[in-house]
Amino acid sequence: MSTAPVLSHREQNVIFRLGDESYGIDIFRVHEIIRLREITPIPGSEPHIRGLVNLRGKTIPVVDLRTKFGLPPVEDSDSTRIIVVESEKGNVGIVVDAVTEVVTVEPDQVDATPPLVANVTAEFVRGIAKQENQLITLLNLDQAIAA
Amino acid sequence: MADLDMSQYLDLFLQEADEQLDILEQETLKLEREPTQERLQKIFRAAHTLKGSSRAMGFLTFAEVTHEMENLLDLLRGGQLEVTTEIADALLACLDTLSAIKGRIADGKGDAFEASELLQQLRALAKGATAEEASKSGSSPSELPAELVRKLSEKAGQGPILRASIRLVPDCVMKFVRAFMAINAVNERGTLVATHPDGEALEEEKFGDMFQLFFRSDAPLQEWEAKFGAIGEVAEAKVSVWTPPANVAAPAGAAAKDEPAEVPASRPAAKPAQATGARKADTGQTVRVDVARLDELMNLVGELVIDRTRVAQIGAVLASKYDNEENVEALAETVSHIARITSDLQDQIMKARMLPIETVFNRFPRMVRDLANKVGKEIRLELQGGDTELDRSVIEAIGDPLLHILRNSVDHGIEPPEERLRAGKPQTGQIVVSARHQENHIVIDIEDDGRGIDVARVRQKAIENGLVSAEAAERLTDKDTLQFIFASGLSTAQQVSEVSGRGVGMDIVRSNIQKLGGIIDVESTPGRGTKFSLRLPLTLAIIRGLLVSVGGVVYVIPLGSVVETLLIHRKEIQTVHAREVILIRGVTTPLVRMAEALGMAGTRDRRQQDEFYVVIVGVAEQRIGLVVDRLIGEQEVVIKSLSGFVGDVPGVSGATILGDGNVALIADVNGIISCGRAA
Repeated sequence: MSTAPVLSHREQNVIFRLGDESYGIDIFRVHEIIRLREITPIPGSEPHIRGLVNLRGKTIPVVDLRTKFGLPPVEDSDSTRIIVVESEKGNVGIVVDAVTEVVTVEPDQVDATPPLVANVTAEFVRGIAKQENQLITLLNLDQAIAA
Repeated sequence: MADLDMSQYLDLFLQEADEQLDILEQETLKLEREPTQERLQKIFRAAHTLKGSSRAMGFLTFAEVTHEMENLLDLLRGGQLEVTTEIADALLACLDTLSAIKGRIADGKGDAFEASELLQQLRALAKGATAEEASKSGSSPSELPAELVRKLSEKAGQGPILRASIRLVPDCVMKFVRAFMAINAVNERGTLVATHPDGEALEEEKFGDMFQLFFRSDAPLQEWEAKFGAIGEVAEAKVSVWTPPANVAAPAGAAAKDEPAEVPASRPAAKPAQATGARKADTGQTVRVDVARLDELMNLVGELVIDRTRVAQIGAVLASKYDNEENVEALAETVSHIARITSDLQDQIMKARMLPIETVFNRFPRMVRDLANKVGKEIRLELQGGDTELDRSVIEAIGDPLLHILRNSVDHGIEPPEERLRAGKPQTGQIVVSARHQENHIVIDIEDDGRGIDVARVRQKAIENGLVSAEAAERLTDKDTLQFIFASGLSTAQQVSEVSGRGVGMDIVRSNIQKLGGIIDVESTPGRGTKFSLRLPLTLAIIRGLLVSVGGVVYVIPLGSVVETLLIHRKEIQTVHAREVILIRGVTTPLVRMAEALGMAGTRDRRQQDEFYVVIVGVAEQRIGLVVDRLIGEQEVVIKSLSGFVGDVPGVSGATILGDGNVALIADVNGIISCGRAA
C-alpha cells in the first residue's frame, strides 16, 4: 500500500447515507441535490442504472448506489435524494437514502488503507475519514458510478 | 494575444480554403467536359484568392502550389494550352495536394509537404506550352504587343520615349522585386509610361528573364544604363530612344488623352481589397454562424416545444376545473398564441440549419470520374435537385451511404463500353442522382442504366449463405428476393474488385439509413438498370411519434415507421414455426411482443389477455406487428440522446421529455425486431 496521503489538502465533502453507513464525495463534483422524482426505467440497460430523470429539460441517467454496492433495496422515502454529480460522460444522478451534511475533511483524518468495510468493495473507496462521532467512507466517485 | 489573433485568422483561412477548394474542384470537373473562358476565369480567381491568403498566412508550400496552378491556368486562359485529361488530372492532383496541406495546417502541423514532384509536373506542362507557343509564333521577346505599340505611339507624339531592356540573371529568385527596383529608379528621375510585360504580369513574375520599361527622362542614356546595371541580379541593361514603327501611325486626336501609366507598385495593395469587396457584396446579406451555436439554439427550442405542450396541458386541466373563469379563456388564447410562435420559431431555426444537398452531391463527380477512369468505363453523372434542403445532421449522415451506392453503380451497375455497345446501348453509361422533397421527407434516387441486378444469382447466393431455404426462395417474388442484397455478407459480384464486392456494404448502408429513420428500397430490371430509392426525414432533432405504453414505460415509436394500429383478439393470433403471426387483409404478419423482446420481467402472463393493441411497423418491405399494452397518442417529440453513461441499450435509440415532464424512451424499431428474433 502506498504511504502517500489520500488527500493532499483539506477537502469539503457532501455526506450522504446508505443504510447505516456514511459516505462522502468531494463537493466540487456535486452539481446539485434534488428530491426524488419520477425515474423512467430503461429496460435492457445495466441493472445499476435506475433510469432517466428530467432535469430542467435535460434527461440524465440515474445510478442506484445500493444496487451497485450490492446492498438490499429499500423503499424510497421522504429523505431519499438524487445527488447530481459531474462525470466525464455528462451529469449523472445517484440515488441515496439521505443527504446529511457537508463536512471539512483534513488530510490527517484520512486513513489510506480501508479497514474491512462491510459491503463496499475497496475499489470504490479512496479512504476512511475519522470524524469525532462517525466514520466516513470517502468514495472514489468515478469507480462507484462506472458500469 | 498574437497567438489568439493568428488562430482567428487561421480559422478564416481554413474556411476560405474549404470554400475555394470546393469551387475549384466543381469547376475543374466541369471544365474538363466543356471548357469555357468564364469557367477558367472562375477557377483562376479561386486559385488566386487562395494564393493570396496562403501567402498572407505564411503557408509557402500552399502558396507555391497555387502559384504554379495559376501559371498553368493562365496559359489555358490565353489559349496557349488546351484542356486535356492530363491537365485536368494535374489540376485535380493540385487540389488533392492542397487539401492535404490544408489538413496538416488544420491539425497544427504546419504546411510542410513534399510537393516538388507535382510542382515539376506543373512546370513541365506549362513549359511545354510556352515552348510550343514560341516555336509557333517565332516571336522574339523584344517584339511588343500591338496594343502597347499603339499606346506608345500615341505618347511618343508628346515627346521622346526611352526604352530600357533589362535582362536579369537566369536564376533570379525575386524577379518582381528587381523589376520593382528598376521602376522605382525610373520614378526618381523620370516618368514611367509603360512596361512590357504589363504591371500585373510583372507582379506575378510572368516573364522570362527580360522585361522592358518605357519612360520619359532628360537624363543621358548611359547614366540610365549605369543605374539599372547597379540593381542586384541584373545581367544587362540597354537603354535607347524608342521610335514607333513606321506602320503604326499615331491616331489623330488620341494624343490629348494622357492615361496614367500602369505602375505596379501602387496597385497590389489596392487590387485584392477591391476584389474581396466586390465578392462580399455578391454573397448578399449573410452572417457566418458557428454550428455549435445553431445546435444550442435547436436544443433551446426543443425545450420550448416541450414546455409548450406542458403549458397547453395545464391550461386544459385548469379550463375543465374553472369553467367560467374569464382568465382561463385568456390563458387558453395566450397558450395557443405561444404555441403558434413556438412552431414558427422551430420552423425558422430548422431552416437556418438546413443545407442544400449539393454539399453532399459535390463529392460525387470527382469520385465517379476517378473511379470510372480506373475501371475503364465511360460514365456520365447527372445530379438533379441539388438545391433540395435538409438538416445538416442528416446531410452529415447520408454522405457515406450515398457514396457507397454510387460506387456500386459505377463498379457493378454500368457495363464496360464494349459490353454496352454489344447490348445495343449507348457507349457511355448514365447515372442519375436526384433529390426532392416529399411531405416531410426527402427522397433521393440513384438510378443507373447498367446491367441490373441478376435476381437469380441473388436467390442462389441467399440460399448458399443460408439466408433462406431453397423451397422458400422459389416462392419469393423478384422484388422480395432483391431485398437480400441488403443482407450481410452477400455480394453478387463475380469478382471482388478493389472498389467493392466484398459483400460488406449494402447491409451497412441499410442499417445507417434505418438509424436515421429512413427507408431504402431497390428496383432493378435486368439489362435496363437499377434504381435505389432513399426516403429520409428532414431533421433528426424533432420527430412525430406514436406514444405507447409497454410494461409501465412510455415508448415513442417514430411515426415514419408506423403503418397502422390495430386492436386484435387473442384468437386471431396463430403460430407458424413457433412464431406468432396475424393475418392482416390476407397478409401474414409476424408479431413481436415488445415487453418480452425488451426482456421486461413478469410480462408473459399478459398473454392471457383477450385483446391486444398492435402497432404495425414497416421496416424496408417487411411489415411487423409490435404488441403493446396501450396506445397513448401522437405527439411531436424532441430527441435527446441517451447519455453515453448508459451506453447502447437494445431497442432504444434515445429519450425525450413529454408534456407532463416525464421522460419517455424512443423505440428503435429495428432493434426491437432483432431482440424479438433472438428471444
